Amino acid sequence: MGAPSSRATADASGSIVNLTIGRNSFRAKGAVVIVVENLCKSYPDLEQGEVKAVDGVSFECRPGRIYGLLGPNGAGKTTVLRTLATLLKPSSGKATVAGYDVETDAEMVRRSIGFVSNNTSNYDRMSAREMVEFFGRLHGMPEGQLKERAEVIYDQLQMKDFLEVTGGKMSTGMKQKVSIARAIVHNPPVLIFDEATVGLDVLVGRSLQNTVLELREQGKCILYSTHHMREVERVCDQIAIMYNGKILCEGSQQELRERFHKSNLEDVFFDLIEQQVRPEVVA
Amino acid sequence: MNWFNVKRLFVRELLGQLRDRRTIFTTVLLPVMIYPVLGLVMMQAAQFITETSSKVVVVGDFQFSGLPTLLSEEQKTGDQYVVPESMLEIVPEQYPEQATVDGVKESLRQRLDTKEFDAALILSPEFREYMSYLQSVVQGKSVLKPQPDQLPGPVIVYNSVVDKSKIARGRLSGVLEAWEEEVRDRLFELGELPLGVATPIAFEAEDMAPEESQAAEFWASMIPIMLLLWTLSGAFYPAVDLCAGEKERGTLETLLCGPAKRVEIVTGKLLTVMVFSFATSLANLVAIAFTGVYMVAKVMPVGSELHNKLGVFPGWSILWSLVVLVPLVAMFSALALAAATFARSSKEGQYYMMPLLMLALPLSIISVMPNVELNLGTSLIPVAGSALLLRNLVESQFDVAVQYAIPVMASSAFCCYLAIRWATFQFNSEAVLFRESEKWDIRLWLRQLFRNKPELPTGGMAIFLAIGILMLRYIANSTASVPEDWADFVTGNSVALILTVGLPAIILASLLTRSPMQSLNLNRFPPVVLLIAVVLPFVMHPVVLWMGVGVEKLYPISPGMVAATAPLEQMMTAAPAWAMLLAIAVVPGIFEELAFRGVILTGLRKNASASSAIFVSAAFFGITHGILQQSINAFAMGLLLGYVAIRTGSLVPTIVMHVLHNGLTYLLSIHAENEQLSILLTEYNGQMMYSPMVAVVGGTLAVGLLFILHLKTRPPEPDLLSEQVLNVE
Repeated sequence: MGAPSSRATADASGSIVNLTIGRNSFRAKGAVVIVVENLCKSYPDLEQGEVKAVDGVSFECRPGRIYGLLGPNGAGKTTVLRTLATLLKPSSGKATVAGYDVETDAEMVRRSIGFVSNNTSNYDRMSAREMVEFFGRLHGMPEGQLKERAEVIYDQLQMKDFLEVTGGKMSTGMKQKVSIARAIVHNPPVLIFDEATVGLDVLVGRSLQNTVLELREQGKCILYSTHHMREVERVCDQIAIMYNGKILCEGSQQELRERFHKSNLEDVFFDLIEQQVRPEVVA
Repeated sequence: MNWFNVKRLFVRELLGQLRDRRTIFTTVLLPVMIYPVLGLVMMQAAQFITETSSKVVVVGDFQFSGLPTLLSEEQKTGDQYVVPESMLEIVPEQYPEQATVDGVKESLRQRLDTKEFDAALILSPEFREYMSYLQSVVQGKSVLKPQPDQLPGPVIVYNSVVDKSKIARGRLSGVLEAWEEEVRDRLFELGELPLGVATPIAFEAEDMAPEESQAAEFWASMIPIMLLLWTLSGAFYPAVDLCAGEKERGTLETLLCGPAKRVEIVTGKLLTVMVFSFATSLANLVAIAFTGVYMVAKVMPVGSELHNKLGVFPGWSILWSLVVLVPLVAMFSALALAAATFARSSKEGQYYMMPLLMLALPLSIISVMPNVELNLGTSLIPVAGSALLLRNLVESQFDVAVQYAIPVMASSAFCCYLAIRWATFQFNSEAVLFRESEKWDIRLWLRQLFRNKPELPTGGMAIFLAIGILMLRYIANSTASVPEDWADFVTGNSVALILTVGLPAIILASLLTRSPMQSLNLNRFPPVVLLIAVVLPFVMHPVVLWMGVGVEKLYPISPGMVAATAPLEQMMTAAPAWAMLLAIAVVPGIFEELAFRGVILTGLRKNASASSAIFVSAAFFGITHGILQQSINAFAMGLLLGYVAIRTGSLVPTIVMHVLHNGLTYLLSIHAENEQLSILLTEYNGQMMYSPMVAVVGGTLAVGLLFILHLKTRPPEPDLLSEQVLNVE
């Protein structure tokens, strides 16, 4: 699998990105890269019996756009993203990433994505350089191309100072940079960030958001989940508010504010959640 | 599978482990250091024991006129080989006048309790008189009197709970034995009898085994067990770190959402675990050899027993044994990997070590049991076969080893394959990989069990039922009394089978599932299948019986077992045919099927592939038949019946087959002498068997029928079963 080869140099300059990794070419900005249709995921639970963690979720994401999943803890965001990363199998419904079905073409899906979450840690006994190169090699990148691509990433993410530091000795900010470098080394068309800023200080969190914005400029399709309103406001183009496994509403920031007659996203969010928690009171 | 990825993963895991000081310490350094230290400590301890002298009170004079002196220097030092000087401190005391032996014992006991001395020896006046009497008898001065029941001998008083007292007793016994020989010789001399009369038959046993083999005997029994245990524990620690540890540290999810396939990840980890398992056993081997040859043997005096045992290490033959170790290393590594994947945390992973050890230990101990030899039968037993092969190699019995190397390797490779399948299964299971610790509450669990019943039994229920049946069968077998007559046998057998096998399955299906009939696999089936199910048992019966003969050749039934079952067989021939058919064909046919091809197979099918479900249900079906030879046959039958049940989706054909097969076996046993059957039968080892020609024809027909069955049926949809369970409202 040597698909990324032709694109590495183009990427380095940060110009046009040729997303030919999927079944279709996504050169056009309007093409849909992630399609989720009526996705459900349930699992047995001792207290509640069968729990529907995700209950009929549908959405689409496009390249060069950041799609935000906003919701409180336990809303089902992580389950959706884990399903898209092929870590979990959907109970029913369908999802495709870069034209590949997450169930039947899991390996190709994983080759087309970069996944960063607060559950994906780095190896304690591996240096930053080893970590990035290890994942590049797993993706089948030729040595020369891998080195070239890695250097570009180290520059972009300002990692040069700690390339030989092992994971166990890194600060939280360094670890997060290595995670991103590891996820984008093979230059995937899709990037998934699952609560990636949890536990980061303000500076590191801000720097991560900037990186995400830069990746958008490179034409990546980005799925970004968080429970921070500010982050969503700053980063996301399109927003879906999730609660109890369902998407309550979806649209751009402006659309949502206008639809609910609120001045900011936070008010929209609380309004929606309140309706769900106490429907009779609102009625 | 992409082998480049496997190599990359393997190198990474290996590097990760090598950079961890703890792993290197526990796998390589610890064993290298522990044996020399252990050897030194043991020798120090031995010195400590022998160097403490024992204080012994001797009540009564130990000079006997005309006889050798008791407690001479030779007697006291004769038994010692490590420390040459005497370790007995003698305190002589007068025998109290007019005292009885019991009285003296009582007073000594009180003093023994205060630890005034370690042991005491009572030499009573009666004993002294008896000695004089013996002298006068052998010299012809006295008449021989009838011997009393109890001779008035010397009495040693000691306390077995106190170690020092026990040692003192041992030393005193040694002295008395040496003195006894001297006294006996003296008595023969006085009676002018040749000394040879005392031991008229002096036999000799000449060991014809080559000297190297004799010397290797100790190592041959030690090394296989040591290697097996170290192989397992060497595999376990890295496995726990690579699976449960990675889960804990959050790196497993990073790897799983990367491009590598699960099977590549499992293989990479497996190879890493194998390297450490192998390195651990190798390091241990080297350390044992070094300790044995250079430390213990050098310190022990040349010619002493320990020196002979430990001094000669069977060097080169050991190298061969490393080859045998490879499949075993692979099997233990895969087992450890599967167990470690199942664990949520490293801590939980460590808990699974003990059960695995308990499984491996008895199997490896088989290899050192007396009378157990490497043959085709034992070579096929997992772990034990490898241990026996190792033993033969260490003993330099290469001819035997070569003969059975292939079966041992094949059996190990098969077990290894199963273990790897299990490990991969664990790695593919979401429930295992993303298991989160939730509070377990028995009330919640029970409520859940009864309120939100699944449509069909789950894999967990199937395993629970299978283990429950095993336990019930064990209790029933161990508490059952020997039947008095055939009626007793028929009712006892049937009731036990219904209560321990059939009823638990029916109860589980009706209480814990929403579709009891489907859970018991009582579904519709294509009518043509019934015809096949009726004919198949007849045509395959000869093959099955010949297979049974083969099994008994591999694992001969012990004479004890034959003797134990003889009265039962007599009873069976005396019983009316209908009763026996009921007890050994109809009842087992129905109730064993309800459990094994019913609830257990249906439940296993939910969590595993059809082939794995058939294999596991057949394995349980085999184990419930208490006798090994029966178990093997039942396992094979279980595979066939499981296949039929899965293909037809129904229990009815398998019940028909099971009843007919068991019934045929019984009918043949009582009608074997019938003239009309003589064209089909022939005599084999004093028993009537189908002629080989009949078996070949029957076997061919059976294969043909199975092929038709395969064509006429369709496998159930792969997701059909799990779908039904998942879609709970």
